[in-house]
Amino acid sequence: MTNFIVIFLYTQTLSFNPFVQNIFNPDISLIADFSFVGSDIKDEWREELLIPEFIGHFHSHIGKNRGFNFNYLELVFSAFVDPYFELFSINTINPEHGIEIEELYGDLKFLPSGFGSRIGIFKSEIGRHNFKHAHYWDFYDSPIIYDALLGSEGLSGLGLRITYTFPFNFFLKFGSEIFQNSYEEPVSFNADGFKFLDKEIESFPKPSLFTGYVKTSFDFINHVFLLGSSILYGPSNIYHSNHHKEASHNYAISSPRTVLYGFDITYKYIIDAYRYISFESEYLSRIIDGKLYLVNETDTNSAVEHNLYKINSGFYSGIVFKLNRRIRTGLRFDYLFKPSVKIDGNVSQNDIKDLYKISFMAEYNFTEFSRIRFQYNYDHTKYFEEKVRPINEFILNINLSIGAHGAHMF
Amino acid sequence: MLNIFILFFSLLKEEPIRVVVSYPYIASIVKEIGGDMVDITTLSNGTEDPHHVVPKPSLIGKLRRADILFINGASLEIGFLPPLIEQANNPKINPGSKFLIDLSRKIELIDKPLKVSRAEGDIHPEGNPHYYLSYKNLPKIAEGILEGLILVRPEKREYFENNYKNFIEKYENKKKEWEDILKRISSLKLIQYHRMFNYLAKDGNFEIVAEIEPKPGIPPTAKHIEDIVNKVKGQNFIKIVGAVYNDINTIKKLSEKTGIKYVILPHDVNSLNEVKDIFSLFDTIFKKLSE
Repeated sequence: MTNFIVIFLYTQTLSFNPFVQNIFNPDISLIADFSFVGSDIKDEWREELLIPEFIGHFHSHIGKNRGFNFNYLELVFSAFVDPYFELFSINTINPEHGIEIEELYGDLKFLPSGFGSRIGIFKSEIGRHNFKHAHYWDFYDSPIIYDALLGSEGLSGLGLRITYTFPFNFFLKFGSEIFQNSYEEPVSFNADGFKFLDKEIESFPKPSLFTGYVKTSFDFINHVFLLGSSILYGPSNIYHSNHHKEASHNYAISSPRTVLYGFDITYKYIIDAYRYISFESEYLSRIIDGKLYLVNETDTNSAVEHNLYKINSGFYSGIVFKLNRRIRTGLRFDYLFKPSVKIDGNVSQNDIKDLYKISFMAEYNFTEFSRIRFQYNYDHTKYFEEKVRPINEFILNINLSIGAHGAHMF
Repeated sequence: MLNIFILFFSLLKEEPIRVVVSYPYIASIVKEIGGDMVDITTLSNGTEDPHHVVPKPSLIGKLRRADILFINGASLEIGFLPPLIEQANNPKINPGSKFLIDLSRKIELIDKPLKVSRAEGDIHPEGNPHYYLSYKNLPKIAEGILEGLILVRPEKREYFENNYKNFIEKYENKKKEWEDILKRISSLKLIQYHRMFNYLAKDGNFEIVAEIEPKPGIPPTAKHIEDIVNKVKGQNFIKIVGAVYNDINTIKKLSEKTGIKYVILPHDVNSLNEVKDIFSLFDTIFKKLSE
């Protein structure tokens, strides 16, 4: 009977409109993410948290306020345009920024064998963590080294990617990207100029940001290895405003050549059809070689220019154990090395020592489309009122997805 | 000089076709029809859950070199294959390419859902994707593979067609054997873990009494197990069947509670040691069912 009704309605539709085209509608998916956070730091203090010599104003796009958080609603459209292009549009709706285009790109399908290309706004494929969307992370929040060097949403931009996959029996891929500028809030890279007190910080030519990376993978029976190495090169015009503090703490950096490089390794031992143990680790390092503008102590309306040479590095290592089809648990260790800073050739003394974070998570996946996750963080990376302020966080996170969402990468 | 060129190109022509397949059962049939003209790479190993194969990056390299890709289709590979194809940058096997062969297109699928909703569990809108567990579908699957291989290497048509005929001959002989066994056990009733053996049940006229999964892909609750126990009480000539990757503890628990024997059936080539090819897959299934 139901079949009959469906067929009847369909034929009726056809009889009324022979030009119906909704069969060509794209795949659409919606992913909603909510959390409940318990923390020993007040919400209003979060604005003042910083990681000195790394990032002036710490901001996470994943909810960390005490109590309930609506983190985001991700809306994804994808379809083949024609035999030559495939179009993806990934949009996030969140309470803070409203509707944002997170990614909007076309993949070229007509290139010679081995070549791939993407054009539009997209997440860079550098490193291991950067290209993943939040709903696919192993942990609730991004690794600290990403927050500190690339921002909590990672590096994305408007530009072009070219990749080449070698015709070998193992996986070997080279990729290179060119971006107009950093698309998200700039943390390390920015070509736009601005005024800092009485100093005009010049803009740099665009496209401004270049990346290169190589990834390779091989297996030994049930042991899978994935290795990667990446480099980014571009200018840094970064304005550091310390919220809620007097303006004398503000400073600016302008560097025509900032280099960020990294290495990553993933190892997965596949125990059986559902169980595995995976280890993932990534090291990132940034070298800034340029100018530092500090507020003039005798005239706070003017800035003093210095030569700056700064190295910031850190890594994360995480292990995830999938116990069965439903349950996963994991432990992640984040570490930031003591920054090396030279101002006008002199080593800048700072008392920044061990900055680290330990995260434990346990999750239950009802299906591939719904997940509840508990996470505990002990965060020893944030400074509050000139000293390290350890933060304890308990997070209960729920992620729900509907619609036609594509499979994820390894 | 010309002779050297001719010799060189004739050698090139004899290069085997680089065939990539998603599952070992497809590899077995490709081997039968392709003979020594195919170099086969299988993306899974036969012991995995076919819905949840690990998308290892090393598979990208294999897909990158493929001349043709044979898939089961009916969304069975949806959870792992698309990103691998995307990364492989091989235009021959992109979705829509004539060298990406979806074998389910050759088959009349059963269990098409009237309502496509994930509230019904992990359903496949096209119908039940485990059609290869019907021995009656083997000729159609082989035909799809034959057509694909001819598409890549038309000059070898005769060779492939001969191999196909040999395969069908082997199949016809086996079919008689299998149908003799099926006649003997046609009153068998099955409790299956997942909707894996519906085609098999249709072939053998077996009644599927219950499913351990309340809905496809949804784990059973204690109450659901209890309901099955009450439902099958006092029934004879019944077996609990599962695949190698199904939760054996749940199967054993149900077996203990009901006193019904359970049997782990191979769901693919290489899923059990004795299952080396497509024929021994069915040999083993029918042997285990008739024990």
